[in-house]
Amino acid sequence: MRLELRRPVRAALIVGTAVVAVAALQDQTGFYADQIAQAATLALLAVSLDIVWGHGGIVSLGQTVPFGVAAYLTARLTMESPTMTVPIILLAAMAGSVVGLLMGMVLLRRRRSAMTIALFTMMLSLLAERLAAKLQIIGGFNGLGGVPPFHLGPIELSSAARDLLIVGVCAATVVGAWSLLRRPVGGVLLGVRDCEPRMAASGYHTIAVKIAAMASGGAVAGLGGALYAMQAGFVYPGVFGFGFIADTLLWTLIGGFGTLVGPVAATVGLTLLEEYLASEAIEYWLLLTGLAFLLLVMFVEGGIAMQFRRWLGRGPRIPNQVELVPSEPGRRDPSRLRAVSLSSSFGAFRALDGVDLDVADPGVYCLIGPNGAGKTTLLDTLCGFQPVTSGRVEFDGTDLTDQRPWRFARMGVARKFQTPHVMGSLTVSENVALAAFANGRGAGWMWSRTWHAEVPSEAMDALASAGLNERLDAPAGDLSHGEQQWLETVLALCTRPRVVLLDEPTAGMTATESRHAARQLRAIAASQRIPLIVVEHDTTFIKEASDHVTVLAGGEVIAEGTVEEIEADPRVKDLYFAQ
Amino acid sequence: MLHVLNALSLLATLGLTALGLWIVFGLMNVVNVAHGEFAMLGAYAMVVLTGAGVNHWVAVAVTPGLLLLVGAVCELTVFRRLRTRREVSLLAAFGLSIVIREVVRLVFGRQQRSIPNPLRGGAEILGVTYPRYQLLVIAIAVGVLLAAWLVLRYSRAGLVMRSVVADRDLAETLGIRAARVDTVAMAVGAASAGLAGALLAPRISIEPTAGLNLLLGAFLVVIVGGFRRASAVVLGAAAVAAITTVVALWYDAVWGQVVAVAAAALVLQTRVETGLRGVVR
Repeated sequence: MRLELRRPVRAALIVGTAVVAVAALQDQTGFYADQIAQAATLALLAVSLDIVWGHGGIVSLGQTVPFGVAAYLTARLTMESPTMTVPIILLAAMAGSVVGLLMGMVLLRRRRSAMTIALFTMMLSLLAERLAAKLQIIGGFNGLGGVPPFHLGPIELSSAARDLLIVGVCAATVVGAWSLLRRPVGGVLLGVRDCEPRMAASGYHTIAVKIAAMASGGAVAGLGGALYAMQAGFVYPGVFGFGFIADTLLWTLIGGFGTLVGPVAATVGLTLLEEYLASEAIEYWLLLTGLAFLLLVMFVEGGIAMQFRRWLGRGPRIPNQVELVPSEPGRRDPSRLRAVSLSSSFGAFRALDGVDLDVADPGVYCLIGPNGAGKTTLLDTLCGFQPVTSGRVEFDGTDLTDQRPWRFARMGVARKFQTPHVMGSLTVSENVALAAFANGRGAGWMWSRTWHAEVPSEAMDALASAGLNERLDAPAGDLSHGEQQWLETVLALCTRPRVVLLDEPTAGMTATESRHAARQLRAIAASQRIPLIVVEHDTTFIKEASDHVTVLAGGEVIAEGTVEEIEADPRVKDLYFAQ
Repeated sequence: MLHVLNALSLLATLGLTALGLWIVFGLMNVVNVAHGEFAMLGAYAMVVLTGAGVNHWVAVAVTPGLLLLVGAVCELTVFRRLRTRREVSLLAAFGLSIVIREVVRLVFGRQQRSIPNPLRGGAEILGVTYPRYQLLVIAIAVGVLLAAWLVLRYSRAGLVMRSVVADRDLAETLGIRAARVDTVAMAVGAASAGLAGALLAPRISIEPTAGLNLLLGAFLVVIVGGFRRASAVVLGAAAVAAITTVVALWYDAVWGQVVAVAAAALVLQTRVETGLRGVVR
């Protein structure tokens, strides 16, 4: 039987237990309480890493920078005004957040490879350490000692009370972070980690999401750093440095990236173990750490926490309970997507050369052409994934040339990619919910405790037609290739699009499935009164579904018309058979 | 003039340390965080060899060979297993760097070592007197960088390497053993780090953490220069050396590095790494 408690009660219980457990460990020396309190502050550093890397997929080795900045700020300011402890800690956490924000803005505004980000963030932390050792105003090489005791207003806390308070605050932060990450806002972060283009094509400003993750991670690290300074009573340049990064990484790795609780447990457990073992084996502790690290990385995928879940026979993560509610399709205004003499190049290669396209009436528009004709590039330019060299893209009279993908998506241009792009570690229903949320007004849904998504009924029908409604709790990555293709088409429909771009929607499907898909898409175009632009090779599909065919070759439109007209066109025959 | 020579000397150091990092990144797509440790090992190899009475210049020649082995072993035991998981290979390099550092600390202790400078005194050049040893290092660095460029650009081995960089899978279908190229890349990368460490050994205090300082410079170079072309290493090193030297003139070297990082941050804002804007598929 599962004990059902209201969430605030549960949260209070967890935090209370942590505090009581530490209180019970208080002895004459206060040694263990001291160690646990310090481990708790470091656990926040691990939480910060798990937010940005484990959940956001940003390979940051620089979380010690906000941690260290906050630690130094706290030490310096409390030395000036000892009774202002609480406001100073809050200020330091904010400073951590600002540092995270700045790092995010420098690194994430343009797409960079994970390795560049790792390189840059690690460089920042190494440099911060050297700089701190250089600056005499913050104590130079020796750091700042003699941080005054923790004050709550005018009251000076005993070191025992301080430790309890710190453990309580850290536990509350972890519980809060856990709760937030289980809400849709956490789902958005996971979505961006799993498949950034899909999220962008659904209308999420994925760069802002990642920068926000860095800012939140910075805030948590900053809080940890501030509490660390208060707990330890001194700060030194090493708080920025390699040792702290290595420890945090090890903890997070052992606890399991993306589990949040795992890294926290690993931090507290290992710090205590270190204290215990250090007297025996201080010489070998770091070497053992390094070896454990290497072996874990090489042989234990997903960390020990995840292995433990597997051993218990559970999936790699706890899926969210999602409620998908069919909603009536709203009235849609007729829309018009136009490309005016559109060109686009990859370096010297001209993939598109003066393409004109005008799609206004509902129906299925097929784009065909040999490989390398520029079909996918054309779709990419029509929804912001590929820069335009010259020419214009207009939607409903608005010039959208060179806008980012989410701008297109919010205007009502939906996109399905050529290879399946779904959020592999999230369940089918979470995938659908995230696509449907993107369409929602306001930001209230993000912070809601329940995943309650209103899904357009045509998307729900499409989901059911492929039997995906039976597999709502399966991770999308476990679906077959064809199923993932169709799921992505469903995701495109979830955003209530006014025009849909589909790149090979039936690739990987059997002939029967393909015919079925063709009928479905036709029905959707007719019932929703929207144009679908479809890149296809499958002739059955083209004959079954298309109202209008455009033939591309060498980046130019060479023929347009109905299926019959195209079949009769000698130029098209040449194109396909003349070789 | 003195400052130009200082900048050149720094450029030589940076270029040599960054070269190996760049090779490993370019070919294997791994940021080898343990690269600095390879250089540190090179410096310790000099301590051991010269301590055992080996001629300094023979030791300089032998050290890269030793590191070649270390690099190959690291690739075969650690990185080969992680070929398909790039982020994980980064973590592995991290673990490796800790292990190397700790082993060195356990063997040699924490205290700083140093080895005597084999080429004392200065030489008159372009109107200033400059330490002869540093002039030699500049010359060697220029030679090594030039040789690396020539090999990559004109030799058959270079062609094979460039093909793996351009399209690993396609290269494999053409019968190139990308896995073997990886081993070679890691070995050569480590060897070049070893050479850098060996050449720097007389000028730095040799301690287990020496690698981290060298790593910072190499990181800066590859970020400023970028990963695309071999010439980027030289350009990046030149830019970082120039900035650091100029700032160090008025202030000091750490601030020089701060300015260089700021420059690197600016570079990140402008250059498009992947050809696609904003979001890449």
